[in-house]
Amino acid sequence: MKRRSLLAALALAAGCGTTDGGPVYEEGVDLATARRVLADRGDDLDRDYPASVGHGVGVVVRDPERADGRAYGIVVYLRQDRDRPRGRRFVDGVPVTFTVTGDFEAT
Amino acid sequence: MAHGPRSFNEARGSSGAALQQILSREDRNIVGGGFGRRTTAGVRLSTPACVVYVVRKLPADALPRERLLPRTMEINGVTVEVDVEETGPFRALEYTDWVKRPVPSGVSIGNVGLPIYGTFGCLVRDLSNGGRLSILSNWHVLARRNNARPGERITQPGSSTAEDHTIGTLARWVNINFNGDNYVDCAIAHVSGSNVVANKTMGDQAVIKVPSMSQPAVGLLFAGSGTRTIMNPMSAVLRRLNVELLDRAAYEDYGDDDEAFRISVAKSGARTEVTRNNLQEIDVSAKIDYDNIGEVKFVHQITANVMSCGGDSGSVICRVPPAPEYGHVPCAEPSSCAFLGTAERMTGIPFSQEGDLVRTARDKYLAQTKVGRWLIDMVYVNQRALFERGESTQVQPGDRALAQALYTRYLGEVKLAIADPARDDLRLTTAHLADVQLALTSLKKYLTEQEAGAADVLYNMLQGQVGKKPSELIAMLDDPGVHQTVITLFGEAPFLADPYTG
Repeated sequence: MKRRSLLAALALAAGCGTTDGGPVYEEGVDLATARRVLADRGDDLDRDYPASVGHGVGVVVRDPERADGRAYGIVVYLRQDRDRPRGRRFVDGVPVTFTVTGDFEAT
Repeated sequence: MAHGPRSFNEARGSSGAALQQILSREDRNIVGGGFGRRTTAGVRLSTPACVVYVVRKLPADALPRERLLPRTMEINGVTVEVDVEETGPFRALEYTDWVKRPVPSGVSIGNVGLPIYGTFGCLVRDLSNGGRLSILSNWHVLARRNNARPGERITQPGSSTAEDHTIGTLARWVNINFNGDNYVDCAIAHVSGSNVVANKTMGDQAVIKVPSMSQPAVGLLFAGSGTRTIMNPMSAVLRRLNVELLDRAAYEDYGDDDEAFRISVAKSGARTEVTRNNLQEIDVSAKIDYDNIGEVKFVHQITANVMSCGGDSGSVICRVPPAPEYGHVPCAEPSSCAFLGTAERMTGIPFSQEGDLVRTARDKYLAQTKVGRWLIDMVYVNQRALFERGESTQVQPGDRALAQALYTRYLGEVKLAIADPARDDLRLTTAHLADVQLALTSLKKYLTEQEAGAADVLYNMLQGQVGKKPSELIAMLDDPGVHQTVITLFGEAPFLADPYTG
């Protein structure tokens, strides 16, 4: 609740989102495919990336406007940058990107 | 001979000294300043400048000479550029400690058994209790993390335990499973008594209002990190609590179309007030850290780029138009203001021919008073509503004729008053009051009962001012008591949104 995360406050003040240099793909998959694969393989992701704090379906390509609907992939949330695996990753052909969110706290 | 600053530090130091001189003027339109760069025609230049913040940026001819700010100042031989930036008034963030009745959503609420607060999300109807009016927020805000019992008091402000700050009683929640998947962190409290809560949202109504078909609820905010805000999908919250929004269908889900990734969302929260951002991911699974509990897993969540901090939990996040459509454009010229144009059409009075007069009255006098500033902002915020109402109102010929006759009768006197409000030969008389009464009788045909009642209260206040000069009447508009009375009166008119509190 009223416990303010300094990082959150700074990010909010800066109006920033996630621009932490994770892998960016030239081509993703369509949204339905990304959702289906995450639903099927979410538990595997938890096992493969134990340092992560969560994951979801999001835009993973550099230029979504030009992606013609194939802009989506799986976004894995990391506590810290050193948890980021090297190289590009895919699950069943779906690109996986990693972004540092820090811990999630109930606010 | 003065010269421009030769270093960053010299520019900064000179700017600071210049700002101190400017702030010492005690001009109420000046609310602050800092060291920055000059902005010209919307372009930020590289020129270092003392940037002065003003409530309203007024044209030079609308200000007396002594209130004009110089374009440059000389400080210890250094020429300092002075730039004026319209910021509006500043106030502290956080809707936490205000005692507000009726309580709008977006402010702080809490369970008396917890020394911390969250946010009043919105009003819902409890379908398990005959549609009883209820407050929606988080389980961890209202229900003390599975330790609570129904009937516990919920207060506003949230950190209060005072009996008379009670606005509801805890009714129902969805228990959190500490060892498995969770979908929602939500609870409701039944509202205590009538007129305790309002179906309004705190904050800039141009950005966010209560959930509606045009601004559907997307989620219930409950957690966040340094870069993300997480929400429960609103559809899941409603289904699992068995409640419905007051505007039943005013929520939306996201399926396999990519709509979710194109929308802007906003919330009004007790800690960071009105913020907006974009949705970021759907189908989110995440481990959420709860104080004294540890990590709890949530699935099927939605994230947005960070738009919250501690205390905002319980806020309802709604889809809103993209940023460029936000807000209002202040009337640069009275004739271009939709509201004045509507008034002109309704009455047949050529307000646009008196643009300078209207602008001077507004900027030179009204804007310098508490009531005036509030009224100006109220008109700005409600421009669309006023415009639509005006456009749908057919004024009877007799009422138009009366308005025109009064305009003709008083235009000269108003011009004299605006030119010199302190002159002794202009005073409020009983004849003025009789004409005000006449105008009110005519106007009331187009007002609601509440609005007519408010007009009567204002008229009664005016009756006690007979014999006063225009300057004294203007000074009255700066009286805190009058200011509060006007705000209260307008608060009773559901048609108008308060510019600051909604």
